[in-house]
Amino acid sequence: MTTVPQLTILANLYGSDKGSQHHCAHRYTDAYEQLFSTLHNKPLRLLEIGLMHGRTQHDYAGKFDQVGCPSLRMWAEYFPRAQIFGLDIVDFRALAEDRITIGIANQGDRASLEGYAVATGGQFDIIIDDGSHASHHQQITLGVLFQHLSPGGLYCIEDLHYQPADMELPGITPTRAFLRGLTEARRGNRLPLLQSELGHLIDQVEFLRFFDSQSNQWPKESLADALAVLRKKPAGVGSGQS
Amino acid sequence: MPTRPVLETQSAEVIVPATLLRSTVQSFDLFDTLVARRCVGPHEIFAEVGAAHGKRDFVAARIAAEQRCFAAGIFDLDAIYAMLVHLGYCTVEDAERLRQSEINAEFDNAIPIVENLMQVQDFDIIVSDMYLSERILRSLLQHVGLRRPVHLFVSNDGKARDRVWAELGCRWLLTRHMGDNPHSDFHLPRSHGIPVSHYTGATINATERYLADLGWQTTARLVRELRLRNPYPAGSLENSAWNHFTALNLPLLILATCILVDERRSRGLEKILLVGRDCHWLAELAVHLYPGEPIGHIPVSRQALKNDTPGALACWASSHLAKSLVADLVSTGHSWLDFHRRTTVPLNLFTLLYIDNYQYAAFDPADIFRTDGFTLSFAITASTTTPQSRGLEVFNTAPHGTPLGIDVLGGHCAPRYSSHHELPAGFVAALGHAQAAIITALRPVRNQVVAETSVLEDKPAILRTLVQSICAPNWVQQLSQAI
Repeated sequence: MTTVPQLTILANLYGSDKGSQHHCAHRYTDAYEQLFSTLHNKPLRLLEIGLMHGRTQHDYAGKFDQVGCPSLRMWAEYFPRAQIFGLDIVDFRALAEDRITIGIANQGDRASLEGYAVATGGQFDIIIDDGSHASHHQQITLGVLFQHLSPGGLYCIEDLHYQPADMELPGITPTRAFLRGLTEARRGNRLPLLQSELGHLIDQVEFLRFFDSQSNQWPKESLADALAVLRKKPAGVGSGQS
Repeated sequence: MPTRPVLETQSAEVIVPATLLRSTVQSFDLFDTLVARRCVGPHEIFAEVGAAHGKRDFVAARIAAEQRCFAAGIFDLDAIYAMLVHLGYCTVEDAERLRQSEINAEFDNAIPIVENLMQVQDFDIIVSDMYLSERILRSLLQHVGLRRPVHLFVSNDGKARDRVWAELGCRWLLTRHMGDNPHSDFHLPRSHGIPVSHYTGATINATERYLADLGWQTTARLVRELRLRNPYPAGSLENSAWNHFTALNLPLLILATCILVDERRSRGLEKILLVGRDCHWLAELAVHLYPGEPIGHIPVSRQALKNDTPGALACWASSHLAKSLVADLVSTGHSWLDFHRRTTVPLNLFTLLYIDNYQYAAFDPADIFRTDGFTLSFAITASTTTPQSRGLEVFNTAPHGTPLGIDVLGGHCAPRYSSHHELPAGFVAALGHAQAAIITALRPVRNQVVAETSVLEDKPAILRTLVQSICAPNWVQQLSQAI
């Protein structure tokens, strides 16, 4: 009998697609279990962007309180001492719970994101972007919020295999391609970032790892590197500029 | 369910137009980042121009004209020469000749900084705030081998005055700027959020400074030029081999050649006959340094020397051993003493490094110096340098295996080589590549190198330092791991 990691159990319990049962069932929880296993009992600050699967929003329109925010509940239980922050363009504020704070912001609006980070005190230890999946949203959000990630913190972007066709900007370099070339400062990408944001990323990313999605609802060949995890350099480490 | 304060940061939908997407590129400074000057600084260019036109005061006049233009906010070559005319230094016609000479001198002195040129990709940006025009700088980049299409920004001191970064930022996202100036290439772009790479490789390094301080200025610049031309990736064995070879082995062999020529001439011998496999490169270098000097090379080994075939004996007979300075880089002298005892051929043996502290059971080491008809002389001894000569042998390896024997073919001595080479092929190839680059770079400065070398004081002491450096234990270990 295979031992199922705790995070996967929680994801399945609360209906998150990060587990092995619901919606696309990506099993990102396997990767998160590797990354977070030593952080269980830390008093973390975790931010997740994108709080409810589109299908759930459709099925439970007007009745969100019946399902809550699956991922936020999962994180709250997995990290019993953490402060959990949720951010979405849809108003889920009524679903706030103990240790779960919910806000509203637009991933394409720097002022909105920056304002949220400042208002919450920033210094997030873990940020997870499971938002719109549009490349410009992911990149602008990364550009703004990576600066509000604590030294040594982890920034995760999910579902890099998918961009909503009606939102994707023509000519933009998809986030997965951009990130694959980030550590070598690859040229030729077309990005909506500010120079200061790109410079900060190049200087401050300590490592970048990719994980595949295990979903059986997508062509296998498209699921490589569906989850990216960037670790920010710890405090006291140089900018890396030579 | 307890409620917690919620945060409200709502905004209207924001559209990000595709026109706000910018392409990522790298940017590079030009001089001393992609291109270096053989003469190091621009003032030496002016000195060359002045010397070529018989104008001793040209350097001062040229600098003064440039400063006047700079103060007026003008910073291009045409304006500087117009200022020379305006100041009454020369006529319009003379100014044009001087200007063209300066441009020619820039091209003649241009050295590619290969490790950085290899990083330039299509449509990267090159930024220069020099007084040379865009047309001239593009030609200069082509001259040093950059064939890629690049954006060239000539900003007339805009880089140093910070303007250029804002201009570039309107069109591109810079993933990195590389340059040599701490202010304009490091602090300023960094203040604009641009990741920076501060390159200082064009400045003279400690080894080159050591050579220059000895009085070996031309050789020091030659070594610097070769270092900048290193085509191998940083951190690779081949890259290190190239640098080690050109920085240490080259001056060592230049000095060795001078010592050999002096020795032959002072003893009135007919020629220098280089005889070790590890004299392969020395032989080629010596011929280029002293083209009129009688120098030959027959690569032999201990094994080949013992091989008294009729062909080998005929080869030795035709080589006029008795009238030659038989020279090797490293030797105990014993194989040649054994050869002399077998063949009774008189020998004048010279070895750069005499291994005086290796005990052969078959010989009394003192026999080396008390055998009639056999003379051993040397530059330095192993007991004063290093107990091992492995580094010297490794860096002077030939592209072929150990000589197994020697015959006469078509009237010429023809060694037979082992098909096996004990060193990594990439390492040997890198040395060969470096040797070819040395011959090319040496050609225009041969006379200066020979003249400077001949007047060096305490040649054995310099030799000792170079041998100790080239035989440094970490190199032997690194190579042992690679083999």
